[in-house]
Amino acid sequence: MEILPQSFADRQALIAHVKSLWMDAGGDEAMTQNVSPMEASPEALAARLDAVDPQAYARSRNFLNGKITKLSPYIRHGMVSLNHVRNLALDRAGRKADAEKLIQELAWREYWQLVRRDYPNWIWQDAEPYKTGYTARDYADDLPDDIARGETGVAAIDDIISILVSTGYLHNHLRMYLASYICHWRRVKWQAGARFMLGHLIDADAASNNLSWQWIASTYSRKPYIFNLENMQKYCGDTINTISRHNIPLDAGYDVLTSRLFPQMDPMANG
Amino acid sequence: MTDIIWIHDGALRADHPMFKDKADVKSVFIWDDAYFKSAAIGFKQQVFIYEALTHLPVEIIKGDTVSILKELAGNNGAIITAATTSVELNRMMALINQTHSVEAIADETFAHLKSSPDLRRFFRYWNKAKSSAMDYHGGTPDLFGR
Repeated sequence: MEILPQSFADRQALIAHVKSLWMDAGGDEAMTQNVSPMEASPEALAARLDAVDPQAYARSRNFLNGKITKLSPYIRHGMVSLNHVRNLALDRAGRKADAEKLIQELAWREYWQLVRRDYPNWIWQDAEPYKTGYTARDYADDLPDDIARGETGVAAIDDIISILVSTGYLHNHLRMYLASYICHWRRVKWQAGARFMLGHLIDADAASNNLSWQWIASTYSRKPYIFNLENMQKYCGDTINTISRHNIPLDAGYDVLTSRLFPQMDPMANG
Repeated sequence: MTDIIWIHDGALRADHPMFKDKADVKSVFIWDDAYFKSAAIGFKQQVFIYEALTHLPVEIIKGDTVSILKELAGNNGAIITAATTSVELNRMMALINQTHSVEAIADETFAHLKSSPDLRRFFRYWNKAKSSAMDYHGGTPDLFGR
């Protein structure tokens, strides 16, 4: 039995060690060019927990610079329990109702786990048909190379891919934008996009990730999720390039985008 | 008899309930490349997992999870681990369970559900879970000292 080392001179030495294991296993060297700045240490977790502010979270969580917890990598790996975070939220909230939005987001994590327990096939198979006017056969099986490289030519999307690849973490809104772009603007099967994102996220969890992709795709929801540039401009601040002329495919109203992306969709069919 | 605590990547903390009353039981994490590949766990996430392991009382062993755990447990040992809904981890637990006892210990309760919710939509679940989820320890009776 090969016992692996448990202590290292510093984080760089640990990263080099994991890289050697990755390469020995036949992994792609290109994937090792970045690691997340988020550390899996008790100190880093304690700092995240100290910063939990349920009221500010409820007010600002949709904005890229909002007071989100960034606890997902720690929750995903069981470094902290949902129970612990919920109890902390109740402690900090004052009024119970002030903690509801944060606790509801914790419940999403629990919910996806329960869905996977009861419907394990839905992790990679369509739970329901697409409601886009297309069938699964109309979607590409593989992720186009320009998406994997972050060179789609749509500046905001390329910025999101760059953040994903370089940090291993995305704000929830960015995950939704990217998933929607891949499924609906590029008409790629959600499975291909889900696998791409799993390969980069440090909080990658097949239940939360893949079932959320199905929700975006409409194979686990009543209608497809789409966004537009105006929505990005509202929530993204300066972190993402949302200049109109750099994002022409995204720059339209919802009615125009819906008819452009889903010309065969029956709007009445999805309620 | 050699019981073994198997720590997997969904339970990387020393106060997980699987450790309760098991202070003398050896803990291991199996660095299993085939598992990582099957679960689509990428390089950046592997760094995160390894870093977490450096802070835990655990021996990290490289190789095939099922065969190593069976070997460590010998003829009569049990495998104690954290319950999970991971398809890949549960598949390995089932293989081990063909020859050894596997105790999968649930994490602390988030919400008690009085009846099975309709899991096809989140809010049907939330409507049933909310009153419990909005209470300390999911409204569990005084098991935790508060």
